Amino acid sequence: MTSRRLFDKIQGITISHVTKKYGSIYAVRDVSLDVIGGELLVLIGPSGSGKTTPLRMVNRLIEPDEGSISIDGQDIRGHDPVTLRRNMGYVIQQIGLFPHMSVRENIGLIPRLEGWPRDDINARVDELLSLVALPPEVFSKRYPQELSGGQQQRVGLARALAMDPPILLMDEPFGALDPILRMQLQDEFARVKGELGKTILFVTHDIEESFKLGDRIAIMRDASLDQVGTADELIFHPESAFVADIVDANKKYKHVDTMCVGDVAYALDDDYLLDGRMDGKDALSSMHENDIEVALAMEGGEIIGLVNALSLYRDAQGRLRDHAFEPLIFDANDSLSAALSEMKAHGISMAVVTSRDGQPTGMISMNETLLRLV
Amino acid sequence: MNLIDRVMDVWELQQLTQRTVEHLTMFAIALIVASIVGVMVGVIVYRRFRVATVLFNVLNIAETIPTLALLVLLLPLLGLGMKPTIVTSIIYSILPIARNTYTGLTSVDKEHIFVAEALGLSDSEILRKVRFPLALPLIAGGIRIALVFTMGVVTLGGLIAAGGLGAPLQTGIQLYDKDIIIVTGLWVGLLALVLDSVAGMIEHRLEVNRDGTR
Ligand SMILES: Nc1ncnc2c1ncn2[C@@H]1O[C@H](COP(=O)(O)OP(=O)(O)OP(=O)(O)O)[C@@H](O)[C@H]1O
Ligand SMILES: [Mg+2]
Repeated sequence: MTSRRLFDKIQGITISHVTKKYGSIYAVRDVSLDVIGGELLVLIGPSGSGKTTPLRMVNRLIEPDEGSISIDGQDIRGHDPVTLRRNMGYVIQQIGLFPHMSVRENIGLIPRLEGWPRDDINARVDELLSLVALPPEVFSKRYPQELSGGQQQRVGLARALAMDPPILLMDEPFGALDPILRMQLQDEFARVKGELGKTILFVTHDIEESFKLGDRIAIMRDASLDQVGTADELIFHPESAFVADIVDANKKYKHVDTMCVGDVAYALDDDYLLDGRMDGKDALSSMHENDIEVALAMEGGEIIGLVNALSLYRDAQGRLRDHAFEPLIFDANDSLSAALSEMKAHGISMAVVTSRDGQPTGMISMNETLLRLV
Repeated sequence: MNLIDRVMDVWELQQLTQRTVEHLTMFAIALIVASIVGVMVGVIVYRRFRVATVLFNVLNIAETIPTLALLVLLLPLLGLGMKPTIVTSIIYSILPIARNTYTGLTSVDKEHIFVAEALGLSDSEILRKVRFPLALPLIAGGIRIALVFTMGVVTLGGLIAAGGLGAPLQTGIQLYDKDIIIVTGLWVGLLALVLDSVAGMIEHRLEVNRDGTR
């Protein structure tokens, strides 16, 4: 069936006094929340606190027992659920790509059901794959089981964007990924989010992620909404000890001048260190298996360079060292502010951190670090 | 007379080439019709759950009637020959195909259904695009069971003048001719084995495809 486009850009989503009860347990209890058009609103809170429930109410996967939700002032119960859902993208943690469809078929599923011409679908799929940094010529024919976790997550995002929906619902989309990969995907998402200009409702457990991506943050506790505000508002004016504890002011760095690179680096484990002399294709499969997208080519304890899985997919001929590029390298004790300005000057968003003896120990992300500064 | 000559003798005298063609024709018609009807029954039953129990009970009863009895029961209705044989095969084969189709459609991982709903697929689109393709390996498994039944019933058809490879077997038994019995028997067995392995390969292939690794 084909469905109407309900909205292009929206003014806002109003969640008004919604309650949902399962037996005697409240999933959400009298929750009211305004999502402003164009913002990314994070829902954060402990497990079971009722984050997913309001998200699923917005696309009518769950109907509230009481209360209502409206988009641009129109009650969503006035929209057919199927039409409503095709006007919203939905990304879940478990990814949920269909195993019997290729990447192209997964992303093109709704456009196909909407009766788009084949050429338009193919063009759209290619465009979306490029947007999520997967070369279409490499990935469009693959099946989900042939993808690493990070790649599946990217395809899941591309699929959610297929109809160019004005609203995006994301439920812990990066929750299951390795920390460095998560950091990369968050960086990428922060970038595309600006380009997309969508209204996004984003569920996470991870306060750092909410600082990094959220325009505003809503804190859920025991089925109720505790407080909503920007990161700074929550940090400086928490209305409860619970909120203060979640945003834990220490998580933002107040004294960048006194900090060093090592304080903000993500640790690198052995999976990230590959022998520069190994075959490029073998290196790629090892990265694929470990679900990582960057690695360091090493030889005799020395860093040869940084390698990127996505460029290896295009070409992995010869040895790994031939594909390495020179990274910025900082000592863990280097001053953070100096390191950040150097990264900025080079236009590089990630750098390698080494211990005193030159052994790589971690990575830092410029965007991530900047966002965490008060 | 050496072995090959004896086999060729039986082959020619009993017109085994023509018998094989007859046999496979009945087999193919029965299996194709049973597959179409069986899958349709499975889908209908999936859509209307209350029909499911009733229908499966009826088919279960049909399944317990001995093949020979069913063949004979259909004689007054359809006469002798190919028709009752094909109909009996179909009746026997619908149940395993329908049952597997139904099981396949209902046992698709909830996660996939949930995602499909969230993306905005309607119920019939979920059935066509998600449930059915994911149920294909099980459906193929049902057809494979039906294939074995059909081979058996079609062979029995020899008793009621349906032709096929049952006919020379019948002759062999009546004349107590070991050559005919052994050659035809082995040939029927070999055919069944080959057809079943082909079906097995298709089934396996579908399973592998469902996993996405090909
Ligand atoms: N279908 C359901 N049946 C029964 N209880 C449910 C159901 N869905 C949710 N709940 C309960 O409602 C509460 C809130 O659920 P919800 O999924 O919104 O929480 P959440 O914050 O997203 O949790 P998590 O962090 O674990 O994903 C939980 O206690 C959960 O057990
Ligand atoms: Mg949840």
